Amino acid sequence: MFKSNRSTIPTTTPDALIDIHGVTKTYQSDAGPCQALKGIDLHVRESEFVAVVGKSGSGKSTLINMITGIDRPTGGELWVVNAPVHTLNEGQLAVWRGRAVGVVFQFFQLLPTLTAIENVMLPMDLSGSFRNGERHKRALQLLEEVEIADQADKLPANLSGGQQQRVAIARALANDPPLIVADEPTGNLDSRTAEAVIALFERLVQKGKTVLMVTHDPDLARRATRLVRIADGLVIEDSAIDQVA
Amino acid sequence: MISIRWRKVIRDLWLNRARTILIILTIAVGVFAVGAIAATQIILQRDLPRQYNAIDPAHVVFTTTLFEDEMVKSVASLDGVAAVEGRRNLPVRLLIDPANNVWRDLFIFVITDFEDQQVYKIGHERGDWPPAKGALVMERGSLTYLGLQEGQAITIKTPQGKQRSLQITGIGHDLYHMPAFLEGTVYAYVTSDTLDWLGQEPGYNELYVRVTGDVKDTGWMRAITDEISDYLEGAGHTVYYTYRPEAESYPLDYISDTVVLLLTMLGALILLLGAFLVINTITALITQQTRQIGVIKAVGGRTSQVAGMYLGMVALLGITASLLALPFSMIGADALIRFVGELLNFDLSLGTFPPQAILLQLAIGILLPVLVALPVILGGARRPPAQALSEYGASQVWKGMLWMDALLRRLPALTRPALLALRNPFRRRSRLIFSLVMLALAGGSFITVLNLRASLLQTVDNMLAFWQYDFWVDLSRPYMVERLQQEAARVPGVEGLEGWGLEATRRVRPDGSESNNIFLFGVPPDSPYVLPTLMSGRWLEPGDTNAVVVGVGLINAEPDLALEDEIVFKINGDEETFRIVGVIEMLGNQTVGYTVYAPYDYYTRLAHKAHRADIAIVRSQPTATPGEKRIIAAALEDQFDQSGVGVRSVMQMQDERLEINAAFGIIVVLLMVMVTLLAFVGGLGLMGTMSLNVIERAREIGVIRAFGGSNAAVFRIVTLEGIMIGGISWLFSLLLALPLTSWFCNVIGLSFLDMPLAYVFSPTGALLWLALVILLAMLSSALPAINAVRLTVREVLSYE
Repeated sequence: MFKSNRSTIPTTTPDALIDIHGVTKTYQSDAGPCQALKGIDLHVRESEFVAVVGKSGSGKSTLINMITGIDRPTGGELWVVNAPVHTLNEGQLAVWRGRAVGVVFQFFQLLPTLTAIENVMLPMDLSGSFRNGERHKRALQLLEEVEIADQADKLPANLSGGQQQRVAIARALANDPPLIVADEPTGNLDSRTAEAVIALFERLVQKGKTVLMVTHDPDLARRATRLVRIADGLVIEDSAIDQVA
Repeated sequence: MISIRWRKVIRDLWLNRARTILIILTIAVGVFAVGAIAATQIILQRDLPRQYNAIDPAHVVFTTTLFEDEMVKSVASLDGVAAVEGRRNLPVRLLIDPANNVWRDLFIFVITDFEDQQVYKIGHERGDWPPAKGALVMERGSLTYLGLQEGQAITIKTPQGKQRSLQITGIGHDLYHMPAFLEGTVYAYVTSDTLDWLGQEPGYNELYVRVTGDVKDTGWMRAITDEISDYLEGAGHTVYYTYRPEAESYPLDYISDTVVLLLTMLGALILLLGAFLVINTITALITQQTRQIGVIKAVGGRTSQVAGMYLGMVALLGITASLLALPFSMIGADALIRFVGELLNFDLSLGTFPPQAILLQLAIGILLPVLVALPVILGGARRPPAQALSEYGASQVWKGMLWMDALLRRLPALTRPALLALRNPFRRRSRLIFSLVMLALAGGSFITVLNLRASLLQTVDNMLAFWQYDFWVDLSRPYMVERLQQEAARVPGVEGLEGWGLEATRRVRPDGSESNNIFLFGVPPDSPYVLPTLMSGRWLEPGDTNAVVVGVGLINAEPDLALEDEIVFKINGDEETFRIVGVIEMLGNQTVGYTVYAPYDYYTRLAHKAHRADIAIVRSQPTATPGEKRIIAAALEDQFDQSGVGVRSVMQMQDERLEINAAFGIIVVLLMVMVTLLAFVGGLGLMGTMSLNVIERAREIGVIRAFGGSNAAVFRIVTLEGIMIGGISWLFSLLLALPLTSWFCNVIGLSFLDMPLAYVFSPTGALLWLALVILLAMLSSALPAINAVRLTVREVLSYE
């Protein structure tokens, strides 16, 4: 379904997981129009660990919302995990997102009335992936991967911030999406826990996942393989990070 | 295994038990009310006519001079006659207070064959059937009304003044006559032997006829009535009245119809309130879970899945509420049906709960909440995840804040927390509007019902005020007024007596047809014994001749009539034309009959009984107590007896008041049930709205506390806000109650009395609701605030 229009966009890079061309986003408010993105171009390949940095209000979270299909661009084209995100309606976006993208939020955003393991099972339930009997097993496996399986049956309110973020990462991996998008995933965590979360992302990248992470923290950004700096709604820097240095 | 989505739904309900219980209760109250009311309506509409028709009611009743069995047989053989029965209606006086020699009316009916009744069959409840000579069967409602027991002996006085003692040996059930409780008239049944034993001439004076053919065909009914009348008159009998009960109806349908109407209104109001409460609560729930909806969509949830979850949640609540309400509605319906049955002297009970009522309950309990919540849920589910996940909208304020700010700036003494409390209700326009609409509906209905009660009582007062006398004595024949006044002057306690004419007549319509019974009173125009409440035109004036003042019920029953129109009555067998000069508020309907007032002199001259009276209107000393008035009436009756003035009956106006109050009491009781239920549902709505307002703002409460706000300050803010919303809604309630009261007064009045009720806006209802709304607003705001201040600032700030 998503590949049908691909041939009409000649500029798409064949091996790109994220392919963005001239994306703009303008919000209308009582104070007048506000342009959050002013024409973004970005290409991300598989197994990249991309850190998106920028000051508050620079447009990095808006960009993340565009990539995940949570918000829609005013102009431009977005191809993410083989789908023309800019052309999909809300229903198609939901189906695509469920299978293609795992989203990690700054404030974890676990559903408070579901246990940790149920939160992880939710995306599988919504997208109908995996058989009913397998979902619990897979969710437990994912919680083991993020080292929180012993807390599987607890409600989020009974978990620490770090534990909640691990559950949120496990949830993002539930449908085995190729792309993980994280918006300030460590913004609400202490440095030790933040370090553990970043290490988790590194392991995911090693396993072939692509991670796009928004962060304020330059030290954490340096742990990525590529850095994209955004200011005033434009990409002002896009560079590979020398891991050894 | 149950899916994760449904686990969330169930756990959301379980973990928010207070909110869940509130919604379930709200729906359950609505389902209960609708179920109980629907079942009551179905049973009343099915069983009342069924039981009434089982007694084989007459299609035409003739009141005549005495006739024998031969005449009954002759009428039975006429074409078009299906069944006939002749009965003797013997009015006697019953001694109810031997110590003070106080008597009241008792109507004894003579039934020839108790086992083979043809028309207006009297049912056998228990005891002897037929009663032996010198014994009687008492009507069951009359027995209860008089406080008598089976086996007890009673003393009666015949029209000739002879006293006899009869024993009550059996109990009967009469659905033809008005229940004693409503009319104050009591009935008993004897055999022809007892009639003879009482020294009465044999014969019948009432002929009950059932006809063949279409009884709804007015032309046919008129023709057969005229034919039988002619037949009776041809045989030398005088036909005093003919009465054609409304076909396929029963005499008390005006009461049961009004009861059904009131119940329907109650059901509709509760349903409307419940619907608003469900919308309000679901809106709050969706608002509260907006971020969660955003997350679900962010991890792949489709709009249809999100909407399905919340619609499922509402359906689950509806199913639970319906199951909860079902047994209660059965109990409620049974109680209501028995209550109405007892009042109307019918044997009613629920029996099997009507399946239609169950289906209606399930439809109302499940479909209605889902339907009313659908737009709210779809709105929430369709919201783009970016919007759902952002803070967008949370701090939006209504443009109404501008005038609110301008208003608040004029009150410089207000503290910041007070300003916050006063501004808060205006933060969300839709929430405020929904809250106000719901509370105004609840309050408006509550106030309306209490206004209606006051209107009913005022209407009764207006009617009763007409009678500026204490009792009237129905005389066995017209007597000279002067003589009556002389006899009355001998009785201590009698302040004055006036002689009136009275004729049970009928209106002769322009097409020759006749109305049902109308009581025409010949009243001195300047009588101090009446105080009419005029609705239009004027009261009688000295010098009037063929003027007549009519009760409004007659104008409504005979719609071609209006003020200044001519109206023809049969007086003394002749058709006489009168002119309507005034319309007054006066109790009357098709069942109890209508009243009209003509000038005494003119009427008595037409009826050839000048200076004579059919009834004596008597006023006791103003200081007399109700008991003393009864004794004075008994003394006057005794005085009349001794001086040879025949007394047929004595009607105490205080009894009349009690009887009217009893009939109105049914409506008042139902209205109070309405008030209680409305207060309950309204209270639930208020508590829900206020609680949700506070729950929604837990984050804000956290901010206030983070900046040093004490628990007391938080309480002040939320309770002041509650009072503010309650107060505004109260003003809207008042505005809503104005037209609602007027509409209800019309509908209920026309159904019950054939005239609109007097419009009364009772301050009691308004003040009671104000107190209730303020109290509940404070309570329902303070309770969730207690929970909010118990949380730590950190918890509250991450409150979802």
